[in-house]
Amino acid sequence: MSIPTGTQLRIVASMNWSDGEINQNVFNVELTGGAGPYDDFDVVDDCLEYIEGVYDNIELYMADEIDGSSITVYKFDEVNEDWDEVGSNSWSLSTGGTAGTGLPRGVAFLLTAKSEDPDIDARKYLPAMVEGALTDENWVAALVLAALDFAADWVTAIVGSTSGATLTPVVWSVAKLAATYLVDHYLASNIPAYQRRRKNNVGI
Amino acid sequence: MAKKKFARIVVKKVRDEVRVSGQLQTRRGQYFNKQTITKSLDKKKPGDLKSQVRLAFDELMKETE
Repeated sequence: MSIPTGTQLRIVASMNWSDGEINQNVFNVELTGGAGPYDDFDVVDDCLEYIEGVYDNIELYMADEIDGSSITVYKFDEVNEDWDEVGSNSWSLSTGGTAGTGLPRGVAFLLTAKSEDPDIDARKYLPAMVEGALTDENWVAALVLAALDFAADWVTAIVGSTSGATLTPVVWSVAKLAATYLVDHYLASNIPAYQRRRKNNVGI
Repeated sequence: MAKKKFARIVVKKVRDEVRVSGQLQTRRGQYFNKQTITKSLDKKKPGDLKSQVRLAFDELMKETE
C-alpha cells in the first residue's frame, strides 16, 4: 500500500504509566512535497522520527513512571470520511532525568499553537511532569523553555529521512473535516493546566 | 513585593524575526502583553528559532525575578 501526497495523517503517540494507565497526544500532519506516493511503512518511520524529535525536548522533565509505548498512524479516508490505520511503531522515552515523582495524573503542561485560521488553535496537554518541575505553584523556567522547544518542533514541517516526504503540521477540524496549517506562533504558560479525563478513577 | 509572573509566554515568528511576549491576565480573563522581546532570525542557520527564543525568554524571565 502507498500514500499519495496531500493525504491527511493522524499520529497518536501513546505513553504508558507503570500501572498500565495510558496517556495520549494526537498530532495531525499533511503529507506534502516530493513526488509520492510513499510506502506505508516508510511514512510510519518518518512519523516516528517526527514524534521523537518533538518529545526529545521535554522527556527530561517527565516522570520515571511513564514511558513512550507506541505511535499509531492513520490516514483520512475522504470517501468514507473516517480514519484508516496505516501502521504503528514502538516508541520509547528517556524519562526520569529530573528528580521527583510524577505530579497527579490530570496535571499537564498546556501548549497552544496558532493556525492560519485565527479561529482555530491546536493544543497539546503534555502529561507526566515531575514534582521537581514545579516551584511556587508554577512551572520552572527551564521546563517552559523546553516546552517552547517542543512547540517549535511540533509546528515545523520535517522532511522524513526514510520516505523523503514532507510532514507538514496541521490542526484537524472534526466539524469541518478539513485541515488548517499551523503557523510559527505558539504559546505556553508558567501556570499548570489540567486535563480531567486523565484524573485517576475518571473514565473506564 | 515580588513581580508578577507571566500567565502566558507567546512566541510569534514574523518575517525574519521572532517576538517573545510575556502576558499578564486580567481578572476578566483577558491577556495583554506586558513585555515583548524581539530577536532577529538568521534563515541560514537551522534551529535558529529555538536559540533566539531561548535568549529572548531568558531576558523576559529576568523581569519576573
